[in-house]
Amino acid sequence: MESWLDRVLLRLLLGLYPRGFRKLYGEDLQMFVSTERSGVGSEVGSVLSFWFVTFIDSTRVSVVLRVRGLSDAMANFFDFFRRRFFPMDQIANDMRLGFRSVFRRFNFSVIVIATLSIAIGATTVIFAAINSVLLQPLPFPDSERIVHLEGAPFAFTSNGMSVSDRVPALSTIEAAGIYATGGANVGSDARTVRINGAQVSRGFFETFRVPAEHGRFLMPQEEETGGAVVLSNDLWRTLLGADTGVVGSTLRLNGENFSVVGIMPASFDFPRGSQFWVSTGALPMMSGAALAPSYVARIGPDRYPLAVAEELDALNRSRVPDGVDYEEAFPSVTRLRDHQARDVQKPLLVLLGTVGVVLLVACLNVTNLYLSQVSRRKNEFVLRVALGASKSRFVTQLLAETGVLAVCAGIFGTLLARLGIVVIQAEFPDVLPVTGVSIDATVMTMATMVVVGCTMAVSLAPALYAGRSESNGALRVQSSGMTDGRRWTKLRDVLLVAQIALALVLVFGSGLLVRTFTGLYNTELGFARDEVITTKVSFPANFGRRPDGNDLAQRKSARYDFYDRVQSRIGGTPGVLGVGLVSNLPLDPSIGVGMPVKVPGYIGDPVSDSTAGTPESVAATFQMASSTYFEAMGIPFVVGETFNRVAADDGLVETVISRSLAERIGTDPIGMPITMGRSIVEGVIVGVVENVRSNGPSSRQRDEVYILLHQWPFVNDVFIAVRTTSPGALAALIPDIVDEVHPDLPSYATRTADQLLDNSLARRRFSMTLMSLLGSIALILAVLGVYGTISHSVSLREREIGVRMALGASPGAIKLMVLTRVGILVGVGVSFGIVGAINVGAVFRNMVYGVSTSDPVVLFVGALMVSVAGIVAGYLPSAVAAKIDPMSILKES
Amino acid sequence: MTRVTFQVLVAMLNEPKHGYRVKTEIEDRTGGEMSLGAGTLYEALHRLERDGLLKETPAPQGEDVNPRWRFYQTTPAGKKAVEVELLRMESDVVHARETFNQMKLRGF
Repeated sequence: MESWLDRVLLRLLLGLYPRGFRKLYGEDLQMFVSTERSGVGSEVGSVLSFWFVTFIDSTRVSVVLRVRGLSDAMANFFDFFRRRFFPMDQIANDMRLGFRSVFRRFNFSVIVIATLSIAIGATTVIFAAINSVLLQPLPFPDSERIVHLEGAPFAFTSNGMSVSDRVPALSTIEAAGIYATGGANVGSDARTVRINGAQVSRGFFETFRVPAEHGRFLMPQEEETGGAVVLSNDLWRTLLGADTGVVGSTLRLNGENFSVVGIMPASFDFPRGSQFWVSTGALPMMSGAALAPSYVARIGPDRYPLAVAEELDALNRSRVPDGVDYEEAFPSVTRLRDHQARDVQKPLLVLLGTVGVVLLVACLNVTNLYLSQVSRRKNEFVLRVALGASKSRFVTQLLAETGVLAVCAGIFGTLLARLGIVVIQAEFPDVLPVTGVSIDATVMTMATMVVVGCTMAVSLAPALYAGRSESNGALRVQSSGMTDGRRWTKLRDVLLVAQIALALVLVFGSGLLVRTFTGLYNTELGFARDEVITTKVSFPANFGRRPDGNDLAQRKSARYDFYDRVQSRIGGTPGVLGVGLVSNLPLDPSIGVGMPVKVPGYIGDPVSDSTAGTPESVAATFQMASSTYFEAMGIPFVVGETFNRVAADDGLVETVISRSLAERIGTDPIGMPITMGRSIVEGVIVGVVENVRSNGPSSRQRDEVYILLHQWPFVNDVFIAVRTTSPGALAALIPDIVDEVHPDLPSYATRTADQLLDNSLARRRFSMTLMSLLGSIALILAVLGVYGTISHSVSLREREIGVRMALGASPGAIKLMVLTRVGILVGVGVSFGIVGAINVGAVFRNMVYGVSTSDPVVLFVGALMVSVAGIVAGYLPSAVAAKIDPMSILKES
Repeated sequence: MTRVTFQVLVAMLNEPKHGYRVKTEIEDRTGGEMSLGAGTLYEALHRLERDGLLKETPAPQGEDVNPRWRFYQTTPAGKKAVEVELLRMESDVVHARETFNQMKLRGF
């Protein structure tokens, strides 16, 4: 009766069912359908309708079966949790067993706890940093409404610092303020000291809405006159002994009297490190200030920064002065926290990703360790099965064991994280834009989640494995028991390969940063870095001023006096090879003055034929230096010599230019006239010095023009550069010497040039150090992984190896056999790692300098390091394998 | 318990049967109103077996059928389930009948 068509259709029909179901009922189904079909006859219509109905039925059932399979799996999963986590007595029992097993396998437990706690600790440190920098609100009421404004010059002010009257014109802003950072010399009992502070407009405090702890803020009339100061809590405690009576009293800042009107709470630290706030009217009192003020504003509720930017833009457009190309200055409005975090956000996120990978490697490692443990404990499981333990009991048991280990690791990890945070804050005090990184509730929650996640991740594979060994039945396991199933060996190999690959990716990433850093660190800066020590002195605007006001000569001579005496006093100290003064020190973040430069006939002189095609003028940085500065800093002269006239009254100023500028001129520039700005300085070139990388090693080389400090003596700050054979000893002496020269001018920020370079590279050093640390951890874990896996496989294959040796295999051949496996695993891991590294390189795009993100050298060295480490780790177990004594093995069995 | 499940369990209460015979018996009993497809039937068998209400048994002596057929019989638990289901149905019927009668009494 059955035609070939029926057979085909039947085959198709059976194919619809899930495999397990088909296995169980396939035969019956076949007979069922055949019997049914034979009752239908051979009339085409009824045959077709029979098959149609049957197919509909089977399709429906196959869908039902599949959905049920899925929902059963889910139900089992939830059921498992319900049963495991509700019967408390059982949990207690499991925990007890867990603890016992932790202690029984002490070495194993120590390794697991160490691995996990390092990974958890690292994760917690990075997350704590991210939490405090990027997640926690700033300590101001409704702090998410405080924004930083950029590009708002016309809308706000034409004369620098007056903002209050213009702000109400914006409907999106509730309050706005201007601030500029700087400092002042404060007379105290012992000696005059330098403290940091800020000049702020009245709207500044309105913007932050942090009430004063004592007293009040600056009043409108004080905005114009100055004369009032608000103190930080810190200054109030350290300098004034936390005396509340100090409000209303007088404090001398830069030699002027200020009346203390208020004291801020300790939580208020903005701009970071400010010890006092004076009004914008006190401008002449400030020194060491940043030239450009910054703007903060509080935006209205339900307003967005972009709306503020648009409104500012509209206001700006209505006030654009003639001849200014406004298109370039679209205002940018960013939330203050994002603004503060702008430089560290990317590195922190990259570090978070990295630490996640380290955590993953640690989990892979522990999983692998666990798998080999579990396979070693087969007998224990067999015994338990014989005593009636169920599959889910094993899983719970394992969860409890891993849980105990992970919780221990979590505790140690958090302690490690605390330590790590302390170390990071000591080592990189200024990298993170927050005062304190703390482990708060958010961080603890995250750490707990990590612990739970690790527990689950680590127990998953071993639990499946244990479940399997139970269903294997006791007999089989007991008799052979010596090798694992193929699938489990393969799984362990895959985990190992993943570890090696991930480790290589991290080693590559840290290699990129290390190369960036060493490249920058070893960049020729243009001065004698290892012998120079520098310090800074800031002059109050009234320095040398007489009350009668007509005192230019007097002020000049006060400056000359200080400059000359400080140079000769320091120069006379034993061990000093040279001393010089300069207005802007290389590597110091203070901004030099940029000015257009013209050299008639060569630069910026369209009259001459020879300059066709040369730029109209060149912007150069303008610096004031003493004649001994170049010698003191070890900046060599290319041609010519330093300034030799102390002061010129004929208006002709001697200048020294940098080599880059001389190269623009193209010929020997000595004796050529040079003008800067709109004839602000008219001078003659007397010397050319080597280029100096003033803004740090990664900055663009700038053209520079130096003029004699005595020609332009009224600078805010002067840096004293000292070249010496013993920088350390001198660093301690300099403040005293300067104090002797002038007791009201404290020297501060005394640093060796090396420290300056360190500071300018601090952020890179931060990323590099942490990345390298994480990369090393990943590498060590991978090495341990190789060692563990190979040792385990050697111990499982002892018998096989014994037999091979008994049959004549030499120890060398055995060693080679094991090493071949190591080589294959490491090779595959490294190959995947190389592919991963090339793909991941782009993440580091903004963090590297002078190195390509797919740098073949770094990749090669990284791959070599990982390979060698892996092979060495595999060599030890191979040596063990080669020493196996065939006789004892054979006797044993 | 669905109608299919119930019918299948009942069909196997007295004696072991194989799949096709269950189908024919149910068809006979319901006068052809309930005709189970192969998939539906075996899905139900699978579920009932999994829940322990049915179990596979050897073919009874003297059966003249293809020996490859699997025979199933309702287990004691299955019998209990049928009993419970019957009670529930009876109480449902009693309740429904009462409600219906009351409605009729009120003249609808």
